[in-house]
Amino acid sequence: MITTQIITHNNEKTIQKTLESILPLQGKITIVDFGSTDTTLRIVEKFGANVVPRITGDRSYIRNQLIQPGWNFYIEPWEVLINVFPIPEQPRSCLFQVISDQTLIKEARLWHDSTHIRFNNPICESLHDFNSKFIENSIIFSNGHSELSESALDSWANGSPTLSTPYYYRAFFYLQSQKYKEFIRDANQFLFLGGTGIPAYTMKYYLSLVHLYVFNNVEIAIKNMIICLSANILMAEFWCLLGDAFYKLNQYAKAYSLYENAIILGERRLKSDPWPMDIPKYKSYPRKMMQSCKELLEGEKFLIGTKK
Amino acid sequence: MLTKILLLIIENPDAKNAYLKLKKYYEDNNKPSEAEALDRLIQKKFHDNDPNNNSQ
Repeated sequence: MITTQIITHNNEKTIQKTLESILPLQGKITIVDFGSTDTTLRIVEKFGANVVPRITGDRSYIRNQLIQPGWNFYIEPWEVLINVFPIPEQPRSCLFQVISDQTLIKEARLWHDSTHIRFNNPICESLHDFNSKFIENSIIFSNGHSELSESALDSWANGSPTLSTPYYYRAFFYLQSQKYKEFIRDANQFLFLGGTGIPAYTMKYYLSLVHLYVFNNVEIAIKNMIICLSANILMAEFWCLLGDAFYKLNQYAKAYSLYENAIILGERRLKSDPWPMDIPKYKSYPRKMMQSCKELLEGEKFLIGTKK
Repeated sequence: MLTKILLLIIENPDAKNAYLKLKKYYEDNNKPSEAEALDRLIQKKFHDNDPNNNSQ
């Protein structure tokens, strides 16, 4: 038996599709509602979901209280499960591919209660298990994102001043809100407090994007990308950003070659690696930029020829 | 070492020698996926069927 848990709050526009997508799992659906004032609960009841009264506590605490014996699965009320996945034979946790806004991330969504994996982070709850394995046909399409409040993130960061995680989430909150100075401050604080591994390289990547496009700091962007590439040479995103840096410097031949690297090396990335993926950076974006570089180089040649 | 090679590539992304060094780095550090990806890159980028041929 599999139990799917969903936390809802005014999701009448998306919840129907979410529930329809998980019906083939033939399991139980448990809902905790955060005070919806729209028709969310009426839709949920049509699907025979078990709506439990709101439990006092943060989101991780609530989700941990909802864990049932056997297999557990969680999905957000703006997400759709694309394929019915096979339940693993052995109890463990499983990574799913979550696609949102042309970005693919990998998250543990299915787990067996006997693994004793539990949610952490009071605001942006997530499951962490180094032994998580990919599951075949595990695709979730996301059509929205969590409503994060700045004050909740502030109180999390202020309450745990030596913990890097709150700064990670608050940095991305600022990035989405286009508060770039605040983003740089929190991103650097996250790294200073010991943020490591893929989250640290992801942060460096977004730091470079902001330095390059918002503050025109090409040098900082290039330095960060060298560090990121030394961690994973197959990330097309890193090569594309280097291409962008040299494109900005009007060095189109160099940029062309770096975009080419993005396509060729990006092709070799393993589907099952845990790194996130900015999907257009693997083909369409570098191709478009290579074409642009080519045209600009031909234009330069033409101008030189005219001068002669 | 790795940073130095990457700097060489960024300095001149069309220098085959730097990619060969990078490929060797990954071979020496037992990272076959990366070495194989670079092998393919050398072949595609330099239209070279023998990536050990450094004549270009």
